[in-house]
Amino acid sequence: MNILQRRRSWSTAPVASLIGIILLLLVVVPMGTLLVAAFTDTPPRPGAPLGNLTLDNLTAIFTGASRSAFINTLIIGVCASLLALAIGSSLAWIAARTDVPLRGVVQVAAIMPMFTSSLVGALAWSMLGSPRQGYLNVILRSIGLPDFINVYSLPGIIFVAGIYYSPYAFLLVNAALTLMNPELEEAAYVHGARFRNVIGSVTLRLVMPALLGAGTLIAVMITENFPIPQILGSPYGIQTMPTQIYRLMANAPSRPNEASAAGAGLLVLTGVMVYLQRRLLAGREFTTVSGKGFTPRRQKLGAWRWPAFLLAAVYAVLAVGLPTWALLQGAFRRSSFTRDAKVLFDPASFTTRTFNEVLRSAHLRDVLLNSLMIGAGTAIIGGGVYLLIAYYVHRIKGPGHKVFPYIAMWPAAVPALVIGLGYLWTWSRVTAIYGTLAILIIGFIGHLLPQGFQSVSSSLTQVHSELEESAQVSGASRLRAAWEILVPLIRTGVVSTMLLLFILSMREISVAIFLFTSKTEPLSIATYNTWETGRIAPVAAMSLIYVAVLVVLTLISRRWFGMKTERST
Amino acid sequence: MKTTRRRFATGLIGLAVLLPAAAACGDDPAPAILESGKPFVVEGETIATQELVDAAVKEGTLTLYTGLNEVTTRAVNEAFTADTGIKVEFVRSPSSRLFERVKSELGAGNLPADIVAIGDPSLVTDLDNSGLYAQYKVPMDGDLEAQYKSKNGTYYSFSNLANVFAYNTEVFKGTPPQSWADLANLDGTANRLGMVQAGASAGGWRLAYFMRQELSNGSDSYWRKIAATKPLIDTSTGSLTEKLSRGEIAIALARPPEVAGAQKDGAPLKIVWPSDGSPIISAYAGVTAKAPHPNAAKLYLSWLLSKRGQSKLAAEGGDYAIRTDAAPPQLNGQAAPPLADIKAKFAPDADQIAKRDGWLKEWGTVFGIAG
Repeated sequence: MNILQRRRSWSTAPVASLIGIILLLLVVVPMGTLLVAAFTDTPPRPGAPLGNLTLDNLTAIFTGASRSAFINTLIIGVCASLLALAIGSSLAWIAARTDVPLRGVVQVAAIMPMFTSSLVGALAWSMLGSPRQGYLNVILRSIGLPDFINVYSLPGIIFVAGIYYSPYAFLLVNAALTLMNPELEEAAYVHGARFRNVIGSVTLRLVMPALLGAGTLIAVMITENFPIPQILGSPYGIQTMPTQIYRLMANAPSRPNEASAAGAGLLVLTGVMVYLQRRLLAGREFTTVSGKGFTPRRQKLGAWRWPAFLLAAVYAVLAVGLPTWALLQGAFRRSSFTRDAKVLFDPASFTTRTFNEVLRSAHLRDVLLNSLMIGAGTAIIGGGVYLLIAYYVHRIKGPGHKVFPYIAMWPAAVPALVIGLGYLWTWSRVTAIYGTLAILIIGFIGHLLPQGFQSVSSSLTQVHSELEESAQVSGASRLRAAWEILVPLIRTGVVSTMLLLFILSMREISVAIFLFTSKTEPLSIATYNTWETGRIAPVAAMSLIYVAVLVVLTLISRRWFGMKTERST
Repeated sequence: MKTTRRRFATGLIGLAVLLPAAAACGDDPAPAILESGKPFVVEGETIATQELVDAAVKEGTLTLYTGLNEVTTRAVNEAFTADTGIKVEFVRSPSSRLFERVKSELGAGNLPADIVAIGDPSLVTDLDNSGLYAQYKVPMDGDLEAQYKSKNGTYYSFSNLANVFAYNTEVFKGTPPQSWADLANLDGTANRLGMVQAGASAGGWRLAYFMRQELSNGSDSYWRKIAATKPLIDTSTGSLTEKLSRGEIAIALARPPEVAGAQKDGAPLKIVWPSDGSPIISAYAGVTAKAPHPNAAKLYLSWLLSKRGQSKLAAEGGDYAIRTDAAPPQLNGQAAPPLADIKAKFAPDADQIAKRDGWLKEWGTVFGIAG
């Protein structure tokens, strides 16, 4: 150990400063500017004098209607995260550790909703489940049942947020379960434990870091989610903190200082969550991949095989099937008005006109190209940056390794819309970058830092450092040990993180809204702008095209996605 | 269906190969009217001198920042490019978001916009005071009415945006209201009304001001009547029109270009021009002081205010021209009534600016919208 420690000490300083600079530019300066804004009376725009110090912004967000927004945010955050965790981790366990039939289908079903942005998901569900005119209600009425579905409600928002965020739980928990040595579970069985004891006292505890990591991440993301409450809640009087912030930003006179203050409020909330997560995990060892080999073992489900599959199927219908059907209705039906259930199925009520119009437009081609380039840039550069930070924090453990994870979680707490503002205020002076695709890539890397860092970290912490240390003891350099031992073991995790980053940046709207130009406009912004014009048909068409592009790209890269069947058989 | 699918598949495969090449080429429609080396004259009206034409053609492109709706913006830009061969890149954003962006980029000395168009008197005044706009007098300045010109010669009002009612013919029960007076007696349970938050857009504020200043002499009585119908209060005219198309609401305070767009997509919507008047929002535009393409920008603004540009704005963009020699807007193939017949209600900028912040707050209280 002494040799290793000595090796560490001389190499850490430059790496630590590099990470420090990256975090400074990505997080501390833009988000710090927002903090300044929260405590001053004028926006810290470039070239403007610093305003006077005030606490008015903070008091404004904790009074009156803002308080009910805060409570709604908490209710939605807690309930939807639990729902997402329940769905995601059950599906992960079914897919990774049981002899469920059609495993590939279960895996695909569990991650499919990721291809839909929450804007598109919320829009599709508002078409399906709005009172009176929602397709499902129209169908219910036509078969003589009461039309009881109403997604414009707290349960509706919780349901939609829950189903669209469960893939994150699936990905993190699935990775943990796949890499987990089943010896411990087997030992429990040998000693006479029953299935439910094993699940509760062994499996669940072993995947606890992944579960808590996923839980924190999801809770934070749902708390700051803007499109779902904006579409399903805001017009019906259900406000959340992000929709309040949007109003402060988007309404004239805009109040960016109060918006920043509300962002700071969310920051405190997230800080508490991350702290709790760390407290729960502190002092425990969760390494499941060690030097010893193992053969995965699958739980025999017996009579429960098909019900388990059915669970995945129902989820797929709710999260993918019905919304896609709604988008098809939106894109191809002649009129967005639904008179009765018959028009939903009558071939005469459909036309490909709008879809063709959208597909052929030069604009679509430009924005799609932008999106692909932004996605690739964010995935590759971002993936590298997150891996560097995670490796430093979990392996090198040099100066600052305890602080960096907190800084890395910071952007999660700031609503994406406000992050965009922070980048606008701090980066608009940098002529070489501002106004190009680079500022969007930088903005997305900053915004997605928590997800990316968390995801890379969970792959990294599962591999015990003894593997690299033994290589180093045998004379390999740190770099070589990492390259030849660590990289192959975490490759799946890192590549799937990069794919995740690609997908997330392809669908990001809020961060880009202040940073795009006519030449760098991505598909997601084009879709949002079209939605603002009030035409549902092209929005549905663009959403379908976007989903199709993501599905094709994911299928191509699936062999690196860690979902490949031979890995898990 | 099958051809679509095949075309789609081919499209996807071809995408990766063709995209870079295609993006480089772009669409290049031949200039229709403008010729290099000659002044730009349409129907006897001089839009630009020969020097400006040559300089603008040399620049070849311009960037527009706009708070106006996408339908109108796109139609006007396409018509301009068809006439001049000069390409228009644009960024569209609701006025207050656009304002924040322009302010920041202006402060950073990194504003790429040649023209900034925005639809709110307070915001345009603030931007003008920040030194956003250059002094520029269009050649047809003398033909324009004084109310469409800024006091210090930096920007113009180029369009009159009318506010109307639109209802869903399949959902609305009974006789739709024909006037603001009727609207106050709407049965909100049978026919839910949709409207935009007063602070969300220039249009939302204009309606709030109209209801208070012009319908209730400065009291909040009309607001209270409307609030009593329990309206759905949305954040943009677009999403409001979309909800109306789907029939989630029966009637909305809407804008003709968006309604016409929805009608084109088959939505069963109908416009009512209120018999007691249509409040008008003004849309302002000016050339920026540090425009990267100052000549193309000047040409654009001059064209926009010419009879030619104004006619295109109305015919293809669906909004009223400020010039009386341009025909009324075409909405989904039908001519809208002339501005003189809709009892257009204009409001003085200064009064709107003076009352805005206070009234917005009170509006929020009456309609139960905080923040």
